[in-house]
Amino acid sequence: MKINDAKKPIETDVLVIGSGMAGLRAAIEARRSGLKVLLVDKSLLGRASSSIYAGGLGLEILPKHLPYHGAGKKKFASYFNGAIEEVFKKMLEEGVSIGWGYPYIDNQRILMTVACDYKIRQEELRDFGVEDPYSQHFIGRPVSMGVPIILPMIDYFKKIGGKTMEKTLITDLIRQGDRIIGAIGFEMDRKRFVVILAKATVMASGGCAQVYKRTYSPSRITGDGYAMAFRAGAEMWEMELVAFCNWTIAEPKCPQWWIPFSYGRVSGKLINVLGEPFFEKYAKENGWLGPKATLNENDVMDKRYGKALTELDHYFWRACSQEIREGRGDQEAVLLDLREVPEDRWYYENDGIAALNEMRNFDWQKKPLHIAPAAEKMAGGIYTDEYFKTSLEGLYAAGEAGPGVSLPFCIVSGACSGRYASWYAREAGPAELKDEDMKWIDKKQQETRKFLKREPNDRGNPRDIKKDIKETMWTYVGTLRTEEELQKGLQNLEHIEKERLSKLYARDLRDLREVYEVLNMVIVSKMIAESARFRTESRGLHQRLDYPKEDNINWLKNVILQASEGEMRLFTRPVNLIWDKPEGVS
Amino acid sequence: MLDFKYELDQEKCIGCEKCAEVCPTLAIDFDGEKKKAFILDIDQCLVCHQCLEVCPVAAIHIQGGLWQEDIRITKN
Repeated sequence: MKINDAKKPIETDVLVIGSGMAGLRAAIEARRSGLKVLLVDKSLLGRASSSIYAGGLGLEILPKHLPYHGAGKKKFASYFNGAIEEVFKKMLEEGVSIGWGYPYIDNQRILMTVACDYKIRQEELRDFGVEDPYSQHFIGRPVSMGVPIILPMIDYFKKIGGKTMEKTLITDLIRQGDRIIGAIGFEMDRKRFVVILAKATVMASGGCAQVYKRTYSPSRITGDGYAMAFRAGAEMWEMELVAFCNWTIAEPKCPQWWIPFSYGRVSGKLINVLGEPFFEKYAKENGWLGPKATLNENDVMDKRYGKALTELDHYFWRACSQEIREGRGDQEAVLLDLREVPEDRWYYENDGIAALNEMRNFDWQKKPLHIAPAAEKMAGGIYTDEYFKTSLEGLYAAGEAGPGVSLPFCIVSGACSGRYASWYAREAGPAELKDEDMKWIDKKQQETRKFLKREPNDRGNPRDIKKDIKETMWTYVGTLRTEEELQKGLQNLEHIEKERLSKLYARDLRDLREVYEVLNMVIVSKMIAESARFRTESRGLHQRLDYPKEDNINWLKNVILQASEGEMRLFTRPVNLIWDKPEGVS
Repeated sequence: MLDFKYELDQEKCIGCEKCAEVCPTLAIDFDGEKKKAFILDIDQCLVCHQCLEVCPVAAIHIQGGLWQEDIRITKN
């Protein structure tokens, strides 16, 4: 297989990498300000993103949705209702908007931006031809819920004159001094390299949950944006914060999919292989119960344990992981007993647990379901300030690739980064390639050609190496972490890096994309493991068994990670506690 | 456990790769030599219908699974 040289560089004002919710929103914003915009995706536009499967955008109840939301449901869905101050406070304590459960270490200005902007941005989706911006709420039904939102946005972007490139993998960003002036990659369909020159670049390539064996992120979410920004020298932050979802099916011969967030699910009981309920035990030991906990099995979980479900979520996967770790799980899973859930709770929240039967015949009315935590999303990512500018000139980051995650964050950060990137593009001079850039591009393309020239061999199949990375990450850098295991994980990753990466081969350009995904996954995995080793406390999503306590004295800080002379440099930066602090912190 | 029927018509398939591109769980893959999509592991299928939506020649059929009216368990 041969790959052809690039034609002359494609020039644009703003380059957007990734076409999920955040990338599309950024591209539309930049295009609406009158600039030339190029939107690039390594797969089909919008279709391979997490946004198309995710829920949580329509976090507001409208009367027309009421048939789906029976009694008791409103508390799940009214997150963004109320005064901005209240929303902000909730986001701060629970971390929902740009993560899920890592209190007090967000950039509070970004949180405030999301709290203020979210409703406007959601209503604004109507301008892009989206009929019902509230249709993508908490679902978890195996439907592609984002289709009615994402597809009109793509059409709108094309209609207003935006340019798009599909199946084009960006391999690296071109750095000139401290500025990013574009990117290089290859087009899979035309079988040729591409060089893109852009005055400003928005990275919206999504997260990296695919580095884990158990995950329900789509298969193309491999952290390419993180890895290429890191290679270009951008600062990364909070890579240890991987959000897991406890409610993921672990039945044999079944895809790993989550059970709908519903009245029915929160009425269920968690039991271990011996049939014993275990959550209460852990909750009492660790003080997770709220003051008004009823501990009555007939109550829904937030009432039962006296805390908001958003806050309880990471306690659930912590307890389940611990139970599995101590050998009381069944085939690396615990059981969710829905047998005694009253029938009138089955259908709430878009058919609730009844929707499970649309995918498979689970028989949850007769036997408990196997569930186990699975990686859902990355709360950390490329470090940005509150203007979504990264530590490099001309590079902006939005959505999961940026400093947060969730659909509300995607539309807000997308719009903001698109706007600030276009402002920068207007001010900045043209991007021009110098001789040394040409040399660097040539070198990079030679490296790419090497993978295509190498003969197939049994140690260099990118799909096999992916499996090994996933296994290593799940075993050693999973939900509950210890120093010893993290070190073992890093050793394994280094072994893969030394022994396997030099054998990588590609028979065609589909393979070549896999090869780059493997290279990126190794870097991202190392970033997660190193940051997790560095943060010697437990906080929300980051749980260390050897440092089980939250430490507000020493760790109200962000872990920053940067490439420096081929090594990973880690350091901390204090959180800017502008508006609110945890109790007892001066 | 499969509660639906999934068919991929190899004769109709024109090798555009689209279904393999969108499949979130790698249930479908693409054979670069034969230039045809094929079912890699149907157990992983989420019934998300994305492949069906992007196929330009309607080579994919799903029967049962999602959006069928009788999916609701009738009371009593």
